[in-house]
Amino acid sequence: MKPTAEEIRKLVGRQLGLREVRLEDDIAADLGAVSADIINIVAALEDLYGVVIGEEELPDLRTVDQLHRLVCERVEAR
Amino acid sequence: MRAKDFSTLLEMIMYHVRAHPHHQVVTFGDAGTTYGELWGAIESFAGGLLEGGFERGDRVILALPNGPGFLIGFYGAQRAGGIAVPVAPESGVGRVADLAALCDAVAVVVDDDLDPKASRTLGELVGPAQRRLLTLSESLAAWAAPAVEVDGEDIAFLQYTSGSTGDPKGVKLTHTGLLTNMDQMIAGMGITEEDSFVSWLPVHHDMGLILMTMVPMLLARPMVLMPTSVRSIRRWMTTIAEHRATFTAAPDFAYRLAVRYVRDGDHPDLSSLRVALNAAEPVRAGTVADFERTFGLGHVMAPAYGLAEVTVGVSMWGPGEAILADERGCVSVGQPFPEIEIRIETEDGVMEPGELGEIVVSSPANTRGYWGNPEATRALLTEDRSVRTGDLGYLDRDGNLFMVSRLKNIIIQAGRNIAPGEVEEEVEGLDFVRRAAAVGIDRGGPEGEQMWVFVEPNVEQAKATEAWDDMVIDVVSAVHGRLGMRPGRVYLLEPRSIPMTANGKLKHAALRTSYLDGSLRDAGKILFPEY
Repeated sequence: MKPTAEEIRKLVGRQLGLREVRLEDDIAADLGAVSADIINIVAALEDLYGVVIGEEELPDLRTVDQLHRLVCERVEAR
Repeated sequence: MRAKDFSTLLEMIMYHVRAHPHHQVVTFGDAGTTYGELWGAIESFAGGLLEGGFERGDRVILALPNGPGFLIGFYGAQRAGGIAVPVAPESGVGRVADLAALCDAVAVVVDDDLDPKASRTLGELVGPAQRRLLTLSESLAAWAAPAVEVDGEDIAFLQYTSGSTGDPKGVKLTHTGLLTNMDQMIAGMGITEEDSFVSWLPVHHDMGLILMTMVPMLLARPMVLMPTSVRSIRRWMTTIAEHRATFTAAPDFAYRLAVRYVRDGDHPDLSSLRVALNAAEPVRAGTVADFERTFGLGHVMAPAYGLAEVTVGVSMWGPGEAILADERGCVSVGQPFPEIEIRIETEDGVMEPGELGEIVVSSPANTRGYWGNPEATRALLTEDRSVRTGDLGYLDRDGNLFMVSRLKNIIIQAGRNIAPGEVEEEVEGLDFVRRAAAVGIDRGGPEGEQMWVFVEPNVEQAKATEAWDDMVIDVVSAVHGRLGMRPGRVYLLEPRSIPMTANGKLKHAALRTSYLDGSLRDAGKILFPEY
């Protein structure tokens, strides 16, 4: 099943220890995630939705919204 | 030039100040600092300390990021006859205050741009009655310090390391010990006066501080220092290329990320590199192969071994040779540097080649022990003053060392040692937590070992499903506030599901195994989250 934006928002918030996460937030610049945090967010998404997100895609992932759309694409393509 | 020609680090710097005051000692960002400028600032820093009543042997906490400012505080404290105590600048204010109390520092020096809120909190925590909180620029007096006698046997700095119990321990490092280990590393690594250095490592930690700043200073060779953040990994590579550097050093994960961040057709030219030293966490054979292949290099990656208790460097695999991995995939960290002997011990005595045991190191650069902690010092040093490393390994028939694993439960995330006890204590301070366990989990991905935190909420709160999300957020936030790094994942567990020994000690290895083999999940012990 495709994840809702709310689910992704919550997951990112849990990984980063933040209650307030908006879809338009830049994961690194606004939310303060460092590379290891982003890798751990992706690992959690992969575990939860059974998708694979390549490492080469990480540098292009900026906002929570982009992350949501990417996971949706992968779930659909499965 | 040999470090042993000098009796203290200050004498070493003074030599270069006199010989070539306008020679650059360090480049940081676009700016260079000369030996003369550095010394002038060291004098002012020492002057500021002495003006404030600083006495011989007093401790100064330095919570400063990479840059010339750190070197000013570090040598300024020594110039005033005292002991520098470097602390990770990203540490939470609570940790900085704890370390200041542990070594009874007289002053805490922070970066000029520390945010005012953190500064206020820290000011309250360090207690103005016992010690002063200063920014770097406030620390500089307008006058130079009067002469203060400094001896080679004086402690130059305390390197705080995380023990498995959670009490950070301050390794005492003397001027003589530091100079001795510098000579050992220079000889053992084949460093010459042709080498030039680019470092991305934190200067508040031994490898970045001793190998990557003191050694280039001794040899008056170019040293480029970079901000130490995973975001500047790519720039680390391009900086090596721009400066035609021959020597760099980092933990395995940094090289893994370097390979990942460099895309096809956009490879910085690293052909100048002679040594890419790989140490401070387990070396993966795959990383060595990927790095050398990606950048089209010969055998430049040199797996190495060291620890603060022997000053820093112990052994390194010879650059220019293919690495050696055993059937387990464990990569050799080479042979010990001159004047260093390694033996492998168990309860049954000294082991033969090929037999596993604790790595024990004998070296003239061994520490005298931990600051104010005779009990831990007794556990560390053998009767002949060798250091029990707490690492499990073996020597092969040719005398090559293999480090297999740690005897203690230390977690190594991104090259940094994390004591499970420190994380657990912080998390157990949250009012809904009954018990917490921090475990190092390596799932084979590029991130390497990560700290995962397992939390048993109190019985009542474990039922409050709607609050689970917030509980996880609070745990992450508490750990981040303390260490400046976040756990890879946090799980809430059923009450009484963290395995314990009969005398109440956490069984970290059993918890890790039950998580990784799925039995923890299958037994319904994981409340949240569902992945």
